[in-house]
Amino acid sequence: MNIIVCVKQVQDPETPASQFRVDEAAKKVIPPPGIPPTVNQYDANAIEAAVQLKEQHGGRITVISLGKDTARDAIKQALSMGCDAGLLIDDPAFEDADAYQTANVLAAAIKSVGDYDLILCGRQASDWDQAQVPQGLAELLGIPSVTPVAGIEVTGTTLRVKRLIEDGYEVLEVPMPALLAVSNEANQPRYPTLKGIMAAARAKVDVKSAADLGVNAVGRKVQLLRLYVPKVESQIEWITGETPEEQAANLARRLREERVI
Amino acid sequence: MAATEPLDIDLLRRSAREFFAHEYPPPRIRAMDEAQELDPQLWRDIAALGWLGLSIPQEYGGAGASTVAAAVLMEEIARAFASLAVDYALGGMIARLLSDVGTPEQRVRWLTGFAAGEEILSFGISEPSGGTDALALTTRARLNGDHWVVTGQKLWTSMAHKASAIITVARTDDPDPPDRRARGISLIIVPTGQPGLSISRVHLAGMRAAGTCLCYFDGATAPANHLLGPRGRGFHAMLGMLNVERVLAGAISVGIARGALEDAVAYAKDRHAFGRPIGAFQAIQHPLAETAAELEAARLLVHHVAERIDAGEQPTKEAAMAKLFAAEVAIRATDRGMRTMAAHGLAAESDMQRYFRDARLQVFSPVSNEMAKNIVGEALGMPRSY
Ligand SMILES: Cc1cc2nc3c(=O)[nH]c(=O)nc-3n(C[C@H](O)[C@H](O)[C@H](O)COP(=O)(O)OP(=O)(O)OC[C@H]3O[C@@H](n4cnc5c(N)ncnc54)[C@H](O)[C@@H]3O)c2cc1C
Repeated sequence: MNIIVCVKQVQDPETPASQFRVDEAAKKVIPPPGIPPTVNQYDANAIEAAVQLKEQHGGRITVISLGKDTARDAIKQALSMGCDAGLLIDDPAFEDADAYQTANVLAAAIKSVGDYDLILCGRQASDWDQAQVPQGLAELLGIPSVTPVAGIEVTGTTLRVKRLIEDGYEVLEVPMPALLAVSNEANQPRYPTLKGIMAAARAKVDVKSAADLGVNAVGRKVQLLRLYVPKVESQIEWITGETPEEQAANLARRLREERVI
Repeated sequence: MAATEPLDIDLLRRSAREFFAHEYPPPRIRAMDEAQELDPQLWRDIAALGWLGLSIPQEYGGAGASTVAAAVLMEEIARAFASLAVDYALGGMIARLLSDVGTPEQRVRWLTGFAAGEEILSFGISEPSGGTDALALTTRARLNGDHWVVTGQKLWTSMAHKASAIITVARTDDPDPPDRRARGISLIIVPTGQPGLSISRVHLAGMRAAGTCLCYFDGATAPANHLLGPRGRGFHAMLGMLNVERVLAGAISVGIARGALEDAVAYAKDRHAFGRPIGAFQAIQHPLAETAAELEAARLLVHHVAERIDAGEQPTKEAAMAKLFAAEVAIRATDRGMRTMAAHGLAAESDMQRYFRDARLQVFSPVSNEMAKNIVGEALGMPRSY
């Protein structure tokens, strides 16, 4: 089974809010000093799902990332978890790519890799949380896609996929090749073993530019009008009452007045 | 020294940090420290990550990683939980000994289970009468037909209460000539769970979860083929390990010092007095800046010595320096951390008091700082002082 996993390197979501800064004029997020970027958490779920499928059915996993040179670390992490080969698309023209442009260059990269049975992505990236690339990518490749996915089984050339819906999940049958956007319910990503880390050191990461793939950065669909950190104001209101029961009742009434419950 | 494999140091560091942050965050570590025991699951988890096989050559199923990699991992483990680092360091030393001088049967018998985390091995050299003067040991082993009979005591033996066997340093032969005390000492793998060997826990103020034990050998037996390395040359077998052991002890000190610095800085930014964060006062800020500088220097020294060991050198003087310097850095870092946090550092819920207590071991183990200075002094060409 040939699996491709698309991985994005994002700013560490555990960055303290106090260290999160944006350059409003340039409309860019300023990377916080001393806090290295990490693999998008949902992508780690996609990597884990791929490695589990490889353990069950055999095969080969190629990791693709569009990003700066630092995204090599994200690919190395995927390799250390059990993926086999890496491809980094490093091109300054795509630094601020929107979802459409990203899907476009990833589609070209996937075609350059060759045959595949399954493409796994994370359901969304924790930096912009748009959840657009996976479906766009499937559309460009002309294959079915499912999102968000909480479980995958393979029988022959068919996938049985658990898709999350409100209050539960539905089970879909999907012919391969297909694209699945994996959610955190699917698994708990493994920590790389020492041997995995050593294997990642031996593995080679290919680097290509968009031009190598015959793609250029046109066709942008999204215009970023303004980027700013919203001001959060908080007020504290003490809820009183003679007894704990009365305090709870008063609290419930206030929350209802504020339409919180 | 077996050939070592390259690996991505940053990836190793990051994965170790994430493992502890998510699986064993400080409250879980504090609970183990208070219970004075490692959670057996923690040992199994680090085995599953392949950490126990780090120093075992690849031909025996290990990772065969470099001393630099070992130092990085050791720092991360010690940053999270120094008690675990002590046991991990001892385990690594035992694995290296078995790999270096064990027979093929001994390696198959002991290394596989050890690397898988299924079997624990302990190492007993220190005795109630002393640790620094190791050659004064009084435990004796006598070959009686097809087995060894061991009599004596070992003190501070880490994890002996959980071990399947204790690699026991014992005198098997009288030294010849008598003043060459290193001669006639042998290593014997003594199985636990036998009437002739009783093991009890010793409770300490620092490294509380490392599991130090007192072991009485009263006619304990071991099959004759449990002799590890050549008879009478056990001490010589250990000599090749000493530099690695010392540089990794330095890495443990670096990990403890880093914990103290990180926690102290976070506290100094957050805690207010006289309308300002206490970190705004130079009396608080400068000592932490000193720790930061010393920590950087200690880590560089540790890595430098580790690189030289990986290059096939035996940097005895520098390994002693790294052990000595890093231990003193940990002592100063934890002392400054305690001052920064005042009463809050002393509270049972604080990690700082644990760092402070744990750092105390680093001064005298695995070799005391005084002994490390003796070694450096001798290497500088002055007469041997001990
Ligand atoms: C948590 C913990 C775990 C341990 N685990 C193990 C283990 O698994 N196996 C094991 O065998 N041991 C273990 N030890 C023991 C440890 O190795 C010894 O404590 C150490 O070797 C020092 O020996 P000692 O405590 O007997 O001190 P001593 O040897 O009695 O030394 C006391 C003091 O005298 C000084 N001194 C002695 N000789 C000289 C000299 N010539 N010049 C200058 N100063 C000198 C020392 O530096 C020290 O300051 C452990 C100890 C602890 C606390």
